Amino acid sequence: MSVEIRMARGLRVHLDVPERVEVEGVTAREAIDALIEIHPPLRRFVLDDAARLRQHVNIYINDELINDRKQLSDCVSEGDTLYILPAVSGGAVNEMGSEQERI
Amino acid sequence: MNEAGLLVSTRKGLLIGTSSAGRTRWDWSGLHFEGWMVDYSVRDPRTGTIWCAANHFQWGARLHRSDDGGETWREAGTPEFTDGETSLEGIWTIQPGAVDGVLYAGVMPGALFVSEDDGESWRLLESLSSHPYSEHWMPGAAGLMFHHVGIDPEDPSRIIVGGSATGVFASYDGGASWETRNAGIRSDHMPPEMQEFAPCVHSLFAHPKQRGRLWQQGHFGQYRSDDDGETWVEVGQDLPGEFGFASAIDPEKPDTCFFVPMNSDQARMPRGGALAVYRTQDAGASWTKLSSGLPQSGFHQVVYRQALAQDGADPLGLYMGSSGGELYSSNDAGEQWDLILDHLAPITAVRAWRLDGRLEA
Repeated sequence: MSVEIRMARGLRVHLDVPERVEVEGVTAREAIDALIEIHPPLRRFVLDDAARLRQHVNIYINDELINDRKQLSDCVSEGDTLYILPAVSGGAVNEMGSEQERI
Repeated sequence: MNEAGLLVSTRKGLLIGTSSAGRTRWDWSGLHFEGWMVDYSVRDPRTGTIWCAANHFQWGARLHRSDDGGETWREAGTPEFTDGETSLEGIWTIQPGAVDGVLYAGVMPGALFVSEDDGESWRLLESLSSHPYSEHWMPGAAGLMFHHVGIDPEDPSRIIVGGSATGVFASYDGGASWETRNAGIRSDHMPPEMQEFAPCVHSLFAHPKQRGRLWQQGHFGQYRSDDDGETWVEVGQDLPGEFGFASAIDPEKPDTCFFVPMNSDQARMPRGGALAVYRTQDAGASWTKLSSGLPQSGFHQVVYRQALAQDGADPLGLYMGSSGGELYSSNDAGEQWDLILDHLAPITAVRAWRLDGRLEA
């Protein structure tokens, strides 16, 4: 299946990657793996050490948030668009947290 | 005339300072890594490389290096867990080793990594993470991490580490095996019969000129050890608070240590809102309050565990950053302080070195 992956501006300001990349895959995992093969530095931005989706990163397939954040087993279909987006929740923890976060 | 270099890590990026006019004027570069929380940055005295542990709440933790004093950066290898479950949450310290190319990384969740190729790849020191006492380790307010690492400059196989809340561990075989070094450290967060299992260490330094001499600011008290942590002596009874985070040593004077006491672990700010550094020059027998130039009222901030630094010069330069983004410096071992930067994001760490004319190697 050919799918398009779109990467948010919030990601692209940190990393020299294009906004849109075409990859092949039948699951979100296969699509993300194919993307990382093209742009290896993306791996640590999107996935944690256990290859799960990072806590404050979301992946949508068209207008549906994926269900399986661990295995990324959600299926994709020909012509789907897969969005990699930073979650707004992450900022809240960081900005509002007190020094308790550091000590 | 002494000059110094300075790394100021903040929750919004890194500033690099160089002094002139005898550490009275500062030129700054940065903000490097804008928007990233810099957990820690340090200069490797062997190579001049600046290491920067940057962390983004969405995109994760990374280790970067600069070999030209901060002009350019590139991503180094980042410590990584491989058990399929644990994931790196932050790099709290990078400690250059005593052997060329060797570096240590203390990370959250509580683990220690070693690199033998100057930061290109990292190996988990599994024997520490799996120590039998690890079942008692517990995360503090900031999480569970090792944040201070000391390497014996004469014998690289001797390593000492401190963490929250893990206590102190020593290795005499390069990290293959570990022994606890907690006898005498109070752990008021644990039942009496469990005092030695997981004390909460806030900062820890091994003195490079006197083997066995350690200084520690703990969650519950300030301590000195003369036997590599086999026993600890509480030395802060006359200080205005047993609680605190930051400490610093004078690398030439084993009997000198600096602490920044806070009033308690419940309020976590200097007593009476008056910021002061306390110095001992007699191994903790007596203390001198050093507050000239520091705010003496209304200071409701904290100094984080890695936010007090010394530059190794004589007289010693001291640098202290606050959670309110204020940076103070002293050219005379703390006798007089000056505010040299403010309005920064919370300062997570400060590290300094004596300049010999250049930032890079």
